Amino acid sequence: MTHTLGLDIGTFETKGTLVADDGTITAIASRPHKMIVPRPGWAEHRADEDWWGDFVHVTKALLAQSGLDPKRIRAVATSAIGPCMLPVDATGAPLMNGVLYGVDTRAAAQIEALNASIGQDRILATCGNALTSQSVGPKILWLRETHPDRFARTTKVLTSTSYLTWKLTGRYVIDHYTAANFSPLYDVNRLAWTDALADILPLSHLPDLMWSTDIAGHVTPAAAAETGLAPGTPVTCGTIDAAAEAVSVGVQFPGEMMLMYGSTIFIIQVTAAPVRDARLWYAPWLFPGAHASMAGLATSGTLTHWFRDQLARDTDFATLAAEAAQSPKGAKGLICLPYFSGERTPIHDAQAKGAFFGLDLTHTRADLFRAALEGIAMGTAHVFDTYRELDAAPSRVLAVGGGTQNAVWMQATSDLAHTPQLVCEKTMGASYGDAFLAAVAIGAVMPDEITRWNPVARTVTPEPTAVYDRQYPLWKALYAQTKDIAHALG
Amino acid sequence: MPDAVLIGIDVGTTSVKAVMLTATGHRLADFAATYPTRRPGPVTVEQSPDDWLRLVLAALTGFADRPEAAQVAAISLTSQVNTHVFTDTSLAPLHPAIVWQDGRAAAEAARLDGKVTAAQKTDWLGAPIPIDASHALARMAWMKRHHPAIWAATAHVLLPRDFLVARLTGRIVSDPISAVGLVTPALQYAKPLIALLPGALKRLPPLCDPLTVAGTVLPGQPFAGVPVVTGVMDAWASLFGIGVASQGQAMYLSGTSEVLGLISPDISGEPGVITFPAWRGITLHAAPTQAGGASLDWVARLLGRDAASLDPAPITAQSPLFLPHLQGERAPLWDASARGTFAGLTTATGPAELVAAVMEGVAFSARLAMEALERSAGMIPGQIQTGGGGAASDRWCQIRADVFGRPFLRVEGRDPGALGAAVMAGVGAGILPDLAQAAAAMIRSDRVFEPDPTAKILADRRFAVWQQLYAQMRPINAALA
Repeated sequence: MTHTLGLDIGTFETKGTLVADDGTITAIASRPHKMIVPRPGWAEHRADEDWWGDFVHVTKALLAQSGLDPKRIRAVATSAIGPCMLPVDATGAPLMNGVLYGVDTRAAAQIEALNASIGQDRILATCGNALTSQSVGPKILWLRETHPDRFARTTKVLTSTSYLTWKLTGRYVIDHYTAANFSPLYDVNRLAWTDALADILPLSHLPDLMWSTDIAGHVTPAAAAETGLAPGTPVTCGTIDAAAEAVSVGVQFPGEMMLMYGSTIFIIQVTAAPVRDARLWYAPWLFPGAHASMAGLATSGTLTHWFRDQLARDTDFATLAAEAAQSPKGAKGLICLPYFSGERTPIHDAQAKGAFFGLDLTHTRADLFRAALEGIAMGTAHVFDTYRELDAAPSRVLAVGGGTQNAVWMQATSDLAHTPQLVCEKTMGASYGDAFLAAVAIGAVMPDEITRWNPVARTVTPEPTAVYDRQYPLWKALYAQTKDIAHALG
Repeated sequence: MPDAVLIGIDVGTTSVKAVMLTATGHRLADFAATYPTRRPGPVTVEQSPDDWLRLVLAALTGFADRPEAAQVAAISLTSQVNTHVFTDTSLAPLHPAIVWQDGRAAAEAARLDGKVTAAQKTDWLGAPIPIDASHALARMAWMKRHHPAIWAATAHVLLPRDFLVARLTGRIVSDPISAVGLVTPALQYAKPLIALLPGALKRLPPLCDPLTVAGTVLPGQPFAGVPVVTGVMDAWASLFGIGVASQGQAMYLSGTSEVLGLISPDISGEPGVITFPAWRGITLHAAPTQAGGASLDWVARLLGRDAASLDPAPITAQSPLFLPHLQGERAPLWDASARGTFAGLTTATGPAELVAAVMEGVAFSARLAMEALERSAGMIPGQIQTGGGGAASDRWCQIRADVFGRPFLRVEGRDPGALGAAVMAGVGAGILPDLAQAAAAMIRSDRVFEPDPTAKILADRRFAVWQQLYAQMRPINAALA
């Protein structure tokens, strides 16, 4: 049987999967790397060692493990943390470490300057999103302003997947979904680069735009020698890891949504028409004619980790989850605002703070942990409400990530967001989605065959819960009532 | 008589504490032991009078073995109030003691309260004091209705201190300050009020001045023949145990909850505070809050730690805030629906920040109470005297001094109730001339906590935000429960 190879570069690990055409996993390999933090607020990876080096290592490991003839690998697809900002010179050599996605906040001053000179409304109208630490344009401006020599030698600015594709095929490409994060340089209305809003760099210095499943090129003899792949193997354009993860559980068509329980809650919903609203994020989806509407909380896994590290250092998540299950729904009247790192969608309040309300002497750690999980679930419900208001309620919600193991959290989310959640059989993540996208790219499978590759294993069904009906409006009121106080606390 | 030795005993809500010391304040021995509280139903809270008696006798027996035992000139007791014991003529309890937190008599209280107008209450009691479920008349009405046989056999309805003095001396007596809600401003039983329940007055003990000798210890018991001074309720005894006995002095008693007190002859009628009838030149304005050591114990439980081991982080403008209303709030807000809140949390918040927020939040609730007392008494004390178990933490005392913006003088000994009883024993037995001089002689200061000027400015700003937080929560609290 022929195979496809999917490979995903995460913040701390690279993971590769070799998948047969029927969806069976033949081999899995991974390699850890570090996130480099040269100073607070900066986050980097080394392009040659961490990205390309991992690609070579993991690919060789997959070939060795499977014993597969490389010619039987019909296509390669990659995904990675993104968007990243990597300037390369005329030979394609990196001029610095790759600057990571939204965790890197070095361009705050440039964001402010661009907002002032362009105007936030114009940015929103052209780019579909406000400028945030996720935006690549301000980071390029940072490079130009703080490292003019390096900027002068830059002939392309790449994201992580672009760099891998360049190393494999010799072509500079980027998919539209990732490019939508290059604000204010990408026009979502025309699906094209733009310099109408700001003159940051010549547009020729940006990679060629493609759709994620377009074939970007073929493995060069040099790349073949280095990786062990067969020369001429097709390589797709690739995409950002979250999109590939969504694909891995079958989120592809309008109305389908991925709900990711990671270090933050991250949501991607595919829509038929663009959803444009300042409370949410927008990008073109992986295929022509489809759109993506994204949302994300600022915390979720980070809040459960905070809870364990600060209030329950002596125990593990399984014990905490078991304790929370002993507390009744509604946590005996406790309500938690989960804004321990501010909040992103839909309220966009960086100064928001976490809180526990309704405390009495009978409350224990179990009640507080349940309240924290329910608080995150209310944050998720708030996003669902926003979609409903915009007449863009999802028809099918697929849950992924470590939090799906927590039954209390999953049930609270379904109850509060009034939605069933489906959990798939395979929890491989983005690299499995990449392998599927590679198979789609060469016509080995039809896009709807993902449900055969990775069927739904279980469903969490919402239960009508009176206590949540009472608490959820209070949760919103508590934020409104204490917002100024949270801001006063810096 | 510098060699005279005095004994003070405090029967509190959870434990018996006793101290044996000289009239010059030299501590010779002490005793502390807890006893159980039973909660047979959601609103019923009971203790066994025999537990109190057993522990009081254990304390006295231990003290009697001391070489200084022969020099003991007097004993006095203090106790929790609004806790009632029903006994027969031989002083045997007929029913478990009904503790002050017990709510079983709510219906009877409402019926009694409905029978009198606010004007009548002001006329009889000096203030429109509500008859609630902890009022002696409500408790007696409950017994009469639910256990008529016990009521018929009841000869005396006593406070814990009354019961213990009676068992030690054979004399049945109480004092007008402890007989909460039953006495006139002239410190006599309010007979028209008590007449609402036939049979009540004859079951109540006669009143005498707290500094009179009730009797002497009966033969066959430790310290037989030693005079027992009547004494007073725990909050008042603690006042003297913290060295507060003169006009202008302020008390911050820190225990399970924080109790603030201020002595001043002026009464403005400020709502939310309790003003006691003048007694021996002392007009006490008191404000019992609900939060205190209980809040710290709660957060310690939450963190899986021992409360004594908790160290607070330094407080900054970004520190989280805590509303300590874990059981609602008493003075000065009297808001039973208030609930606890942690606000301003971030992923940088750790256990030390939570502990600091709890200590500061409790201090803010006490400052709110003290400000009400200052309005009530028409004066602002320059220094606060503090004591009790919650005053043991130096860091917490410093936070309080910063929050109040005034020096805190901490006294030695974490048993101010027992110490205050000993002070009263000294005055009642004629060893020391009056309460002020007795307190000065017997209560030793331990340490002064001066407010830090920078921390005070920050505390003022944060106190304003803290009050705003409570105000914002008010409309939501009732819906949270």
